[in-house]
Amino acid sequence: MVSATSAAPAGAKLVQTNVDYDPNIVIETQNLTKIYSDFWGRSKVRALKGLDLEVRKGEVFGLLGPNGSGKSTTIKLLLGLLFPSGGRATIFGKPTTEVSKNERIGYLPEESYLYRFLTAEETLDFYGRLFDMPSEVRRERAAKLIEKVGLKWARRRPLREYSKGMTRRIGLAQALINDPDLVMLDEPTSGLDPLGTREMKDLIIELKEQGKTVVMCSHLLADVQDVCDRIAILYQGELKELGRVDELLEVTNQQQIRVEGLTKDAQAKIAEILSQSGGKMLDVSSPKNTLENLFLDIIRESQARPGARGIIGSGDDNGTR
Amino acid sequence: MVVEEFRSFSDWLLNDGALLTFVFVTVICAVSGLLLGFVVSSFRHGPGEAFYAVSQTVFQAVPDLFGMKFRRIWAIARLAIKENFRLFVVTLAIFVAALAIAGWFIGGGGKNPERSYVAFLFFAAQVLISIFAVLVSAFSLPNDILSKTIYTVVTKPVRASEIVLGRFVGFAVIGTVLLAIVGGLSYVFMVRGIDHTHELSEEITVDKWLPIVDGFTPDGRRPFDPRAAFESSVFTTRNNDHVHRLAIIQLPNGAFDVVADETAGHTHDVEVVESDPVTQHPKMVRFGPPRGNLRARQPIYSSPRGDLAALTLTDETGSPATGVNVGEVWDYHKYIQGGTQSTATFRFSGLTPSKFSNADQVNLDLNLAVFRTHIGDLRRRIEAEIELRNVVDVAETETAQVKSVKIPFETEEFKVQTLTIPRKLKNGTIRAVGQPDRTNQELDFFEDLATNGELDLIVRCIDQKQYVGVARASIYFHAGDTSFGWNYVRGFLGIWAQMLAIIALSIALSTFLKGPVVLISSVGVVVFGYSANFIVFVANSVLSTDKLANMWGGGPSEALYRLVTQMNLQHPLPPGLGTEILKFVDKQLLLPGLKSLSFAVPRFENFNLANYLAYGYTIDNQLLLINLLTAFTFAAGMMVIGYFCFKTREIAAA
Repeated sequence: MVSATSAAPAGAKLVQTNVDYDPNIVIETQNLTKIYSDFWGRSKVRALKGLDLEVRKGEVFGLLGPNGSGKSTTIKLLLGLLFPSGGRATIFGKPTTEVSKNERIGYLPEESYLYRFLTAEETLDFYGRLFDMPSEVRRERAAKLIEKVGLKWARRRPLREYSKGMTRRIGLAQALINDPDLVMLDEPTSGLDPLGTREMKDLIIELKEQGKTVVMCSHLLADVQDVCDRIAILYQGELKELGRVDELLEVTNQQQIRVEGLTKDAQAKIAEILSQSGGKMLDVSSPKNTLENLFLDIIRESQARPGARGIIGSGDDNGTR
Repeated sequence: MVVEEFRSFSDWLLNDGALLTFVFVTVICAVSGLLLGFVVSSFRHGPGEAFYAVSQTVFQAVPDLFGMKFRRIWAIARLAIKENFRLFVVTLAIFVAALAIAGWFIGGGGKNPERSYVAFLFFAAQVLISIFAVLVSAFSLPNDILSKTIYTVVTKPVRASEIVLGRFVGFAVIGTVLLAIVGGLSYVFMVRGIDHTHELSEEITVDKWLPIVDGFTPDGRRPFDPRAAFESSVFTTRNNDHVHRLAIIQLPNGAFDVVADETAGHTHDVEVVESDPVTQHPKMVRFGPPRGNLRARQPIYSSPRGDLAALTLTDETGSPATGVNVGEVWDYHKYIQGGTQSTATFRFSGLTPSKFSNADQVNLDLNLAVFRTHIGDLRRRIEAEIELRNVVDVAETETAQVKSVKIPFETEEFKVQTLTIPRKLKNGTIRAVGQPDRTNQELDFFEDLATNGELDLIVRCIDQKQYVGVARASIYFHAGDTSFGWNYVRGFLGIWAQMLAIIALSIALSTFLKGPVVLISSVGVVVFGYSANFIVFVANSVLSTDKLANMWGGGPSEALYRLVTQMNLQHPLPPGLGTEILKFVDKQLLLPGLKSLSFAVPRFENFNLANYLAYGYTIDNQLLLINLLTAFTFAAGMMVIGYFCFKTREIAAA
C-alpha cells in the first residue's frame, strides 16, 4: 500500500525520453525532484525529493501534507511554473513544459491571482480568449459559470470590490472556462465559508461524475477525506503515504455496530455475547453528526424558515438532531 | 538649414552598412545568447543536459512562432491597454497642463514663432511619450510576476511569444492613441497660437506714402517689395508682438494694391476694401490670416550623377577644388571666391514639368552663406549669379550645349530667398559641335535645359574679395509645398518610431528584471542611444592615430580624472603608471566597447524630425523609411530576446 520513496539521489538528472502515452494515466511523475537554489546556484531547499506518482483518469486525487511539505511545489512543477531539478513529469503524456497540455487543464491557484481591474465577465472573457475560444462560446460559458459559482449579481463589478470568497469563486470559474479534463486545485477551500466549502466539495464530486480528473492539494483533512478517491501524503518533500482514502482510513482490527431503539437489557446481552466470543465492547453510544453537517443543517433550516428557531434542550426540540 | 546628410534608403541599407551592422549584431547576440544559456544550464544540470536544454529551447521557438494565435495576442494586448488606462489619462492631463502653462510663455511673436512652437511641442511630446512608454512596459510583466497573476495566464495554452508580443501590441496601441491625441492637441495649440490678423493703425492718407527713389526708401532701406512705388509710414496694428510694414504698388489699370512685408516669418494677404473713387487711393484694407510660417516645402536637391558628385567646386583658376576655408567655423559651407573663375556646380535630376504642376515658372530656393573680407557698401548685399546648363551626353557628340543667360541676384543671409525662373528664358545660348553659337535664343526650361529632367546649375560670386558659401542643401528647386498638417503627422511618426523602440526594449528587459531595475536600465539605454553619435565621435577622435584629430580631454576615465582633479583639458597628464592605466582603460576597453555597443542601439537622436517642421521642409520619405525600419528592426530584436528570456524563466521561482 505504501510506496514511499527515499530522497532523490544526489545529482538526479532530467530525463527527457518520451514514454508511450497511456490514456488512463493523466499525470505521471518519476523521481521528480525540486531543489531551490540561490543566485549563485547553490542549493538552498530540497522542496521535493524523488516523487513517483500516477494519477489516473477520472479520479479525485489529493495531495496532503502540512505547510512546506511540497504540495504546491508539485502542482507548480506539473503546470510548468517551476522547472524540475531532476526526474520527469508528464501530463496527458506530454512534458510539463509543453504549452499545448494546458488546453485540457484548469488551474485554481492557492489564492485567486486575478486581474483586479477586470469585472467577472471580463475576467472570464479574457481567459476564454487565451483558449482561443470564439466569442459566442466565451459568452455562453462565462454566463453559465458565473451562474454556477453564484456571482450573477456581481458579474459587472471589478474584482477589487470582491470579498475573498467571491474571488475564490470567480477563480474557480476561470479554471473551468475551457471545460478541462484535468482540474488542479491548490487549497480549493481556502478562504471559503462553510457553505462555500461545501459547494466547492460538491462541485469536485460533480466534476468527478462528469469523468474529469481532479488533483487537489490541501492540509484540511476533512476536505480531502470527503472528496478524494486517492491521496498522497507528503512530508518535507517526501512521499509518505499513497493509496485509496477508504482503504487508508479503514481500522481493520475494529468493528462498529450502529443500531436504533436498543434497550439497556439488549445492550447488556450484546456485551455478553461479545464477551463470550472473545471480544470486548469498547463503547456503545449514539453516532455523532459532524460540526460541518450541523452547521449546514442550521443554515438550510434558517433559509427555509426565517425567524427564531428552537434551541437544543428547549420544548421545541423534537430530538431529530 | 536642417539637411546635413542626404541618404537614400538603399544607400543607408547597403552603402552605409546598416544591413551589415544588423547581420553582425544579430550574429553576436545569437552566439552570446546560446553561450550564456549553455553556461547557466550547465551549472544546473551539467554540460550534457545543458546542450539538450539549449537545443530544445531553440527548436521550440519554431512552433512558438508559427503557433501564435491572434486572439490570444489581442487578449493580452487588451489587458495591457486596460491595465494602463489610468496612466494614459494622467499622462494626457499632464500634457494638457503643460500646454496651458506653455501658453503663457510661447506667443506668436519672435522672428519665427513656429520654430518655438514646434521645438517645444515636439520636445514635450517626445519626453512625455517616452516616459509613458517606459513606465507602462517596465512594470507590467514584473508586477504580474510579483502579484502572481501571471500564474493564471501561463497555465493557459499561451506561448511565451504571445505574452511578449501581446504586451508589445497593447502598449503600442495605447501609446499610439496617446500620441495621436497629443499630436492633435499640440497641432491645434500651435495653429491657434500662430493664427492672428491685423488692422491698420491709422488711415493711409497720401501724405503717409513714402516714395521709393533709386531703389531706396527715404530712410535708406531697400523696399521689401521690389515692385513697390511707395512704402507707407503707417504700419499695421501690433498683434502677436509684431507689426507689418506696408507697401503700395500701382497696378497697370491705375488702381493701387497694398502688400504687407514678411515679419515673424510670415506675411498677410491684404485686400483693399475701400478706395477713393476719384484717385483710387486705398482707404480701407482687410488683412487675411498669416501666410508662410506653417509650410512644408518640397525641395528637389542636387544629386550625384554617375561618378560626379552632387556639388562640385572650382577654385579661382577654374580647377577642381574643395572650397575655400574661411576660418574655424562650421565646415558645412564651402566657399567660392568672388570675381574669379571659382564656381559651384549643382547637379539636378528629376526636374519634370509635372513636379512643378506644369507652371509657367520654376522656383529656386537659395539659402547661401556669405563671408565678407571687407565691409564694402553696407546698403548692398553680396552679388552673385547663376547659370543653367543642360547635361551633355558625352557619348552623343551631336548633343548641343545649351545654357541660359546669367541670372544675377543679391544674396540674403539667414533666410530662404526665392528666385523665380520663368519657364521661357530669353537670351539663351546654344552651342552645337561644328556650328556657330546661336545666341539670344528663347529656351524652354524643361525642353531645352532640363532635358530628361537633368540640369547643371552654376553659381558664381560677382563681388571681388567676397565669398559665397554653398552646401548641397543651399540650393534646391522648390516643387511646391505639401500640407503642413500631413508633414506634422510625419514628424510625429518619428516620435512613434522611438516609442516603439522604447516599449520593446523595456518589455525585453522586464522578462528577466524587476520593475525599478527595468526602468533605470531602459532610461540608461535610451540616454546611451541619444549619445551614440557623440560616443562614436569621441571614440573615433581619441582612437585616431592622427594627433590633430585627437580631442582634448581624452576618453571617459581620463575625463573623470580631470573632472575630479579639476585639471585643464589641455594640460598633459602627469607621466607614470596611473596615466598609462587610464589611457589603457580608455583606448583598449571603454571606448572600443562603447563604440561597439553603440551599434546595437538605435540612434534615438535621429528620430527627432522637428527641425524639418520648424524650418518648413517636407520630411523626406526615405528618411522616414529609415527611421521606421530602424525602430521595427530593433523592436523585433528585443521581442526575440524577450521571448527567450521569458521562455527560460522559472515563473514561480521569482
